[in-house]
Amino acid sequence: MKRLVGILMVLALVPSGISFAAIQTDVALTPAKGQTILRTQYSQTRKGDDPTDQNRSMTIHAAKQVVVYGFTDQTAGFLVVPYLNKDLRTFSNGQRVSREASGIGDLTLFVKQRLFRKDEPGATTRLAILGGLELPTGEHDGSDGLGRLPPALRLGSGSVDPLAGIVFTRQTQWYELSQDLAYQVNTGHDDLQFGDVFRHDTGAWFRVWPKESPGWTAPRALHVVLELNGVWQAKHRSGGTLKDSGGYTLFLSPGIQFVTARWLWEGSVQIPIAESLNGNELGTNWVVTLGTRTTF
Amino acid sequence: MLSLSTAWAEVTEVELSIDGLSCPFCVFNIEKPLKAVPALGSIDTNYKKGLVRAQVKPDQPLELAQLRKAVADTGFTLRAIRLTVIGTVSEWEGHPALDAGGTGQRFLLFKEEGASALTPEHTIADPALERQLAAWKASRGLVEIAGTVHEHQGLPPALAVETAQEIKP
Repeated sequence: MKRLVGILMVLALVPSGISFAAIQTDVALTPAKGQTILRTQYSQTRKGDDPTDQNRSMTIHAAKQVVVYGFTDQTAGFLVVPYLNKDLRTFSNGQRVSREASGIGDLTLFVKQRLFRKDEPGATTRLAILGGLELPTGEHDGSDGLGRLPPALRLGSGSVDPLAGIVFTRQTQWYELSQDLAYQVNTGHDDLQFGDVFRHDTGAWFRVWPKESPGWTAPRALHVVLELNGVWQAKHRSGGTLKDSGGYTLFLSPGIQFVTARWLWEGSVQIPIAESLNGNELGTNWVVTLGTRTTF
Repeated sequence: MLSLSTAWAEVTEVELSIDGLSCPFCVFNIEKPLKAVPALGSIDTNYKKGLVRAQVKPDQPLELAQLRKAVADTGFTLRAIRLTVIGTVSEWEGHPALDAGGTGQRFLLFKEEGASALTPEHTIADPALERQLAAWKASRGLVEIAGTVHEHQGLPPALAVETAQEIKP
């Protein structure tokens, strides 16, 4: 799906330099010192558009637990634990073949350090950097009756992979805008090195209810969310580069959030508006995400 | 301006003006550490105005430094502390002051603050209030004064007086 027109439409709708990734990224979460944010998220990803005649399709169910702890008022630690179920279906010699992998994926640990903060009545502007590691906790050498699982079906990379990023947030009682950029270097394991990953998340939420911020009563709010999430990956390497790997996908991600002083519920649909893949890779049809957050 | 001071007892209510409260989660984030301050009782937050109001438990010492630290740990900015204090009017080096009961804590009283330093000349710019304070000082009556805290190096903490009333026995 290469929808250049779609990108141009979105860029026209989103003022440059604004954003935030309310639902599709974790890095904007920030707890106070000694406090914890717990995020639980479920997503279902559907891949298809097989350029070959095998009519392949893939469904990924992912349950993600994110724990964020405030070490200080400026420094927070993140632990991301994914549980994955990947189901790849193909047609081979007129028969449908299913290959599946389930289990814990690669854990991610990172620290976010705030560099800048400017508070105003009812508003704040913040800039932070982050750095961490993705750990090889997901199975990377699984196999089934048809042999070793292909890279797209594996649960982990098998390698310790460093990542770094930056996140900007401007939040008021009416809206939030933010931008984050993150790069992960995939170091490789045994015979396979997954391609490096670059992510960018641009987005915003706007409060649609209530009309006025509450006074002495407990605040509750309904937000509409619009995000632009991009994922670029270099080609995998195994000896040389693998031609059916890597590429770039840009998602438009409308969503909704209901938030109280202790809980937040959210849902989002990611629609690929531009995709540039290599070789015979499967494209993404859609991603549905549901989640909740609490703080304590 | 500086920061450290201890206000003991006789403070009945605290109101904190906090910048950066921009989401419903912020209310929980700011109230949780304040609930851990021993002297504070019930706490309410005005999300729209960025105000946190807390009742002070009777006979509990309230340390302003604890309030400052609690807010700093949340990552928000404390713009002002407003106190309601009960005590008797006295004097400190020519300045009107409020002695908070038997704890020995003293607050200098201002109607409006001058440029950068406290001096007797601009301590009270309201003649009516000055006369009233003088009368209360003479009578040794119990008064309730509410005002914003100002702190200066080498001086007792001060209250910029917003309301002042005698408490009838």
